[in-house]
Formats: sequence, C-alpha cells, structure tokens
Amino acid sequence: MRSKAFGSLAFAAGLVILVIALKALNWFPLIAQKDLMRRYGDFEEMRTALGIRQVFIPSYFPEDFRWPPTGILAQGKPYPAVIMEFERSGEGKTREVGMMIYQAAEDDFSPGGTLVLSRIREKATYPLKGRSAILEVGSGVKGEPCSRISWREKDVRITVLARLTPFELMKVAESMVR
Amino acid sequence: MTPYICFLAIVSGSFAFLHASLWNTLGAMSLSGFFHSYPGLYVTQAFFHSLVASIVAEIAIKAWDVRDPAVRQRVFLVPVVAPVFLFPLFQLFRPERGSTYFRLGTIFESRRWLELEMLGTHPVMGGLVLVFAITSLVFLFQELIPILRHSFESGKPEKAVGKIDCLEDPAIRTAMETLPLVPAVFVVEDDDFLIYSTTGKSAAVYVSSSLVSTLTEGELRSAVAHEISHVVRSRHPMLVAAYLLRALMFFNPVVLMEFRRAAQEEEKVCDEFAVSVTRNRRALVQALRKLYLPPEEPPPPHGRKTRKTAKEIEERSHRLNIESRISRLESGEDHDPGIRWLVPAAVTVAAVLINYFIV
Repeated sequence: MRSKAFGSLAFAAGLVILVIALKALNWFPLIAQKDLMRRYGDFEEMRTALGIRQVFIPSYFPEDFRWPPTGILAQGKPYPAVIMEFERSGEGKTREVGMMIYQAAEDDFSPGGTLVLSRIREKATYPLKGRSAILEVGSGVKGEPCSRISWREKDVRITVLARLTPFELMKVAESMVR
Repeated sequence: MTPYICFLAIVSGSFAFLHASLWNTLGAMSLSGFFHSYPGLYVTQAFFHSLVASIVAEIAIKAWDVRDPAVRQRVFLVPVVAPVFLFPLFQLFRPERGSTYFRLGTIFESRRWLELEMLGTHPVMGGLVLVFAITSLVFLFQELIPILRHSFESGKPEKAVGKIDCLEDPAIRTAMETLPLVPAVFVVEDDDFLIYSTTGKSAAVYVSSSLVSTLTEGELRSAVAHEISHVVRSRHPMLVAAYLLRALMFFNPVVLMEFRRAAQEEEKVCDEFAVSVTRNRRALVQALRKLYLPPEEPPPPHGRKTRKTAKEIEERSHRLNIESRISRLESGEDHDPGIRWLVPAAVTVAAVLINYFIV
C-alpha cells in the first residue's frame, strides 16, 4: 500500500491526464466535420464553411448595441442554426451579452447562455408585419428587464432575446422583416 | 417481499419497459431524433458517465495501489451505480446543461461524436446502438435468464442426503454468534467436486459427498465458511441495491464489465471472511486448489491448435481468477483501514465532478 499522500498526488495527476484526454477527444470531431456547432470570426467565414445563405439581421439597433455582432456561433447539422451575440458598447458599460438573435430550423432550439429570460411576466401574440410573433416580457437573472420575441420566417424560427424594453425589442424585430 | 424477488421484479419490469419504450421511440423517430430525446440522452450519457467513472476508478486503484477486495469492490461499484442517477440529477439542478453554450464549454460532448457523418451514415451512433443491443442480449442470456432459472430451481435439494454440523468448532461457533444467520449445511450425493450456497429464506450451503471425502476437516470448514459469507453478504443492503441498480443499466457495456469485476472481488471478500473466521489461511488455499485447480491436461502432441473454443477461454479465465485468489491468500496482505472509505469517496466525488461536464 502506497502512502496516502503519494496516492492522492498520483490520483490527482491521473485525473488531470483524463480531463486533457477527454478535451482532446472532444476536439477531434471539430476537425473531422466542419458543420458542427462552433464559433466563427465573421459572417463570411461562417457562410463559406456552412453554406447558410440567408441570415436574418436587423437594420435597427438600440443605443449601446451595434453591428457587427461580437460573437457568431453556427452549425450546419443536425439542422442549420445561427446565434448572434451583441455586447453592450460604450463607456462605463460592462462587456456582457445584452442581446442575442438566433435562427434555427428546429422550433425548440434554445442556446441557453448568460442571457436568460428567467421570469416571464407577460406572454402575448403580437402581429409582426403579417407574421404571428410571440412576445414574452419579464426579467433576467438579476431582475433586470428582459424580453423575447419569436416568429417563424420561411423555414426557420427567429428569436430575439435582449435586456431591452418590449418597445425597443419590437423595433429590432420589425427591422428584420421585409 | 425478499430483496431477491424484488430484484427479479425490477429487472424484468425495467427490461420490458425500457425495451418497449425504446422501440416505440425508435419507431416514431429517426435514430438521430432518438439520441436527441430524453431517453436517448439518458442512455448515451449513462454510457459515457459510466465509462468516465470506470476510468476514474481504475486511476484510483492504481494510484493508491488498492488490494483490499472490499475497497476494490466499492470502487468498481461506483461506475455501476453513478450513471443511474447522474443525468437526472444534473438535469434537475441545472436544466440548461443541455444548452448550446453549456455544451460548448464542456470537457466532452457526446453529440459531436454521435453526429459524425461518413458516407451518409452516422458510424458512431450506429455503433453505439449495436453495442447497446449486444449488451442487452448478453444481460438477458447470461444474467437474467440464468437468475430466473436458478430462482425456480433453488431450494429443492432433492439429492441432499445428510446434514453436517460445522458449528462444533468453538472458533467458528463464536464467530457465527455475531452473524445475522447461520445457514444449514447439506451434503449432496455427487461424484463431482461441488460446493455452493442458496440465499433467501431457505439459505443453505450444499457440499458434494466427493468433496467432503476429499477435503480435510480444516479445508472443509474454510470452504463452508466461504459459502456462509456469500449467504450473509447476499443480505447486505449495499449489495442488494447495487444488484437492483445494475439491472436498470442492462444496456450499458461498461456497467456489465464493472459489475462482473465487482462480483469477482466478492469471492475475495468471502475468502477474507472465511480466513477471519477459521484463522486458517492455508486450509482455504488447499481447498481452492483441490476444488478448482485440477492438474492441466497436456496439449495433444501433434494437433496444433490455432483457435481456442469459448469453453477453453472461459476455463482459462476461471483458472486465472482462482490463481489470483490463491496468490492473494498466500501473500497474507494487511489492509490499511484508512483508505476503506477514502478511495471510494474520492472516486465518487471525482466521477460526479468530471461527469457534470460530460454531456
């Protein structure tokens, strides 16, 4: 029987090696298959890799948010999905994601993340330029105002989730529909 | 209801329910759809969680050089028990664990491998389904059916011809006083060397007449003490729970393997018990040799065998297992009581923490 201290050290070292090995195994499919969910530097890179031609983007941005998105995540399979993250910009603003726009072929696609509508106060159907959108108004994890609007556009469902008032959110959504 | 009947009921029920629900789900959706559904996620993550827990257990055994069979058994049971609960518990406390952002930050995301495409197929997904199907069949034919058959056949000692009293020895009698039960010991008329025990209400130890005439008194006492240990331990709540939970993971090849390793350690735990009761290590070694290690037959002089039959492999494996038990008994190792719970606890904590990031 080895000493407990040596055994504990060897055990910890073994666990570190295991985690590194698992991380390496996790990385391998990303090399082998290009259309798995991953981060992209810009739209062109994403379009070239996945061939997703139509990405719905807003033409209106509320104060503190601006184009281009600070983060783009996308996948081609099992179904196409694109997530755009927008951090608040400007002096004195914390660099946290304040708005997320995502589109996916599956209705129940939910990316999660730090921006969460944790408490829904009101849920209503809202007419959005001829589409039927679902508007949810509530608050985020820290109690800050947070809203979400979601509608079906051709073969994808688009969702805009932001730490914004419902009025501002609807303006963003309307600017995405032509 | 005895734990044994409870085990059979849970095994049969869970096997039938999961089999039916899996086929219903598979029939209603594509293979990929199944792996994205809750049952599919449970099955997949249970497999990967048990695999990781099994590696963690192996690291712990090597790191602490664990030789105490009781500790080894507890460690081997972690990959058997943990995957039953981990996925539902993780989902309960962190429902967003399945979200895109969480999966991107994890240590290992199983879906990446399952979605890998080659020539229009998903080889990893298909392979996993095949492995689950084969494991389920192995469980059915090697464990469930034999257990059911045994449950109907046991308790009928038709050929029992006499009863021997092993409690004449004061040392054994003193040791037995602390036990929750002392089963009856029967002699069965048979020319083969046999010794086995039955559990449940009519727990008993059966010894063949040829074995009784071959073993010395001390050897027989050791062999019977070993079987009594099986009877006593079959009522151990932890082991009963492990049997029940193992049955829920009938599709999981890692659980199948780890449970068998735990079962092998059970023999060594019972050896330890027999030695502690009889205080005669040598007698048990001799009994094991006489019982299970007949001299090996020399290979045929001209016939060069290129393929071993399944029976030969099984016999060889069994022989190796007995030899390992004998060498353990002969070495007479002392065990460090300090690691009795430390190692299983460390394995459990590490397995839970790492598996939280395996989705």
